[in-house]
Amino acid sequence: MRIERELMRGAGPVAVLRLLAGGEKYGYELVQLLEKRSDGVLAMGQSTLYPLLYNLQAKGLVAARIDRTGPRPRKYYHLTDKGKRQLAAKTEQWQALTAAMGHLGVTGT
Amino acid sequence: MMRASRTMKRASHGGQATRNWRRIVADASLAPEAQAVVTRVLRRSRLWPWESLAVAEELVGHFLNAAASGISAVQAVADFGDPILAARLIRQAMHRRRSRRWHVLRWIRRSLVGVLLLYAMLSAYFYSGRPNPAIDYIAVLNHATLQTPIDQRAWPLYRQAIVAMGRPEWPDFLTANPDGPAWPTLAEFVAAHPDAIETVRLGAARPALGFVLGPHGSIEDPAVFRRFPRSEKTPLDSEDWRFVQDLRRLGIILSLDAKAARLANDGPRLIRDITALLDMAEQLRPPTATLMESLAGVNVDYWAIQQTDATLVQSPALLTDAQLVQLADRIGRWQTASDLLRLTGDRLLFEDLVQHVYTDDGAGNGRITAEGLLQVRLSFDDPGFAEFLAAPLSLLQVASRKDVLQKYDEFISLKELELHRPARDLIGEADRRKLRIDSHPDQLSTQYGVITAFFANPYIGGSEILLGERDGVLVGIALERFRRLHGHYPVTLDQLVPTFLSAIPPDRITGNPVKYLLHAGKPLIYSVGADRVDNGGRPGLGMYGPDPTITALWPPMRMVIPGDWILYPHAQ
Repeated sequence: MRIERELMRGAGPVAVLRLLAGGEKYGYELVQLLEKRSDGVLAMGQSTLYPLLYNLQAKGLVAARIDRTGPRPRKYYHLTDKGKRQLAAKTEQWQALTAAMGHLGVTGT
Repeated sequence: MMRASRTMKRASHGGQATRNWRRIVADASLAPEAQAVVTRVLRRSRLWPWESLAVAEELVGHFLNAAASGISAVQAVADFGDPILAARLIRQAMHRRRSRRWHVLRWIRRSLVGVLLLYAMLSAYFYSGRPNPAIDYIAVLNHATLQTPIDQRAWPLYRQAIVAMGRPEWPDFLTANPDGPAWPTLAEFVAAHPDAIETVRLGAARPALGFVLGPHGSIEDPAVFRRFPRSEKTPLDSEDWRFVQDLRRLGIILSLDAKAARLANDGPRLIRDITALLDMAEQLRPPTATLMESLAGVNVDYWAIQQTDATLVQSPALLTDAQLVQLADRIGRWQTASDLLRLTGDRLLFEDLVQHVYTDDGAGNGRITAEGLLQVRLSFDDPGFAEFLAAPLSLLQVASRKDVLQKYDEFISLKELELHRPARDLIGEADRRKLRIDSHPDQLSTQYGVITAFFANPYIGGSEILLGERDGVLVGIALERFRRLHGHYPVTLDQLVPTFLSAIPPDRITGNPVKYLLHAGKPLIYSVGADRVDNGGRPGLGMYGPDPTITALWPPMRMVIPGDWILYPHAQ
């Protein structure tokens, strides 16, 4: 099942922040995790993942480092303190939202 | 220094980066499909070189990781999605990461481009506007004249007299004073042109002036007027009223002839000259007259009043009782400035100007045009490039056709109303500001520049002085008739009413009855003048000594000078 663009616009950044909460990751790794952890539901078009990461970086929610130790440079993203606070806040909001939707019978409780 | 260093670094890094993102893509062992997608994204995202470098490394890594995961290039490209969308989103995201200074500069650049675009559109709109005059106002102004049979028009006789007498080169001709030192020269002139002066009198006796305005009109007369090249498309302007100056000249000649007749004890000639002056003044204020014409009429009337005054003082016997009654009846008809000044012609001329200056949307509105601006601009220099560039802005500043007509109507209607009231009523605090158009807010000069470039404020001061001194002469005529009957002047003016005077005229400054004194057996009629103090009939002091009219007007028209305004007599 694919999520509509408007819903994805709100969910995508939270999902990426949540994945980064488990440690730093590079772009393709995030693509794979999104696919796997959400059973494909949150598998966003890969073309939109990188702009999403750049936006999160512009907002100071994530930071990046280039690892040049391997055969080719790899860019790793990790949560900043601001990103962590944002993730906490968003998580709370999502929980409240899903609970409310559950009470309405839209989602299972 | 730091900035220069940073710029050099960026330039150096940028040049290297430009080479590198292409090399990175080329050197990576990417399948051609993936390479094409990465290249496309980077080209379309139009990023700074070092930004492209970072994105290139990341996208190349993405496709290499996909390949390492066993995903075919075709599948990886399909999974990646739309490269155009990716490029757009990446560009937006990268822009967000750029410095505030860059955002400010971008905003300024975009604003400038926007302003330039708007200005270009405004200019195109402005320069595409063309006036489209629909009404032939010259025909409207000429209508009554053309309805008058030629033998009833005065102008053919006036022009004949002008041709016969030429335009004498007297110094300060228009203020030539019959009582001044130039009198011998002036007397010689009138003595040399009895036939031409008679022609002027015959012209004045005709019911209408009969000057045909506009191209192919009376002005196309090389014997009288120097050639004045004009286009039929331009509106009428003051050049078309040059004949007014000639009529003033003829009025002065009649006035000089009246003095000569008085000195020669030629009563019939004298009364014919005075009557001709009054007739000529009437010809200058037909229903469609302009302010310019009617002001000239006020001048001519004033000379008639002066000659009557002088005759009553110096040679009263030259005028019969019947002539005195007729004169009093004639000049007594003027009640307010509205009987002497006309603004109808100005209305028509303004409407003509507007139709030559504005476009016409067919519903009474329109916008200012480039041609129109040239007509109402005050400078006679050729418009420069700066003026050409700035001209479209007038669309934002100058009032629309409808607004400008409405505002003009507001002004002219106010002026017409004012002409019906004595000036003393207008000088009150509430009305003082209404006396002059230039006392209105500055916005008029730009928003309604079309009006201010055209509008001639009706100078009611001149007609007010005429009416005041006419009042003096009216009383003077009544006093002379009383003297003829009783052998002496009355003690008070009440004795003149109602047999010789219907009512004692009001002082035009205070509204109270005019003052009357017998001084050494001679009558004196006066107003208390602008200072409103009765100085016992002593005139105010002008630059050259006592001046009978210097206290006739008051602020804002003139400063207050102590003294009385002598209404009668002026002549010694």
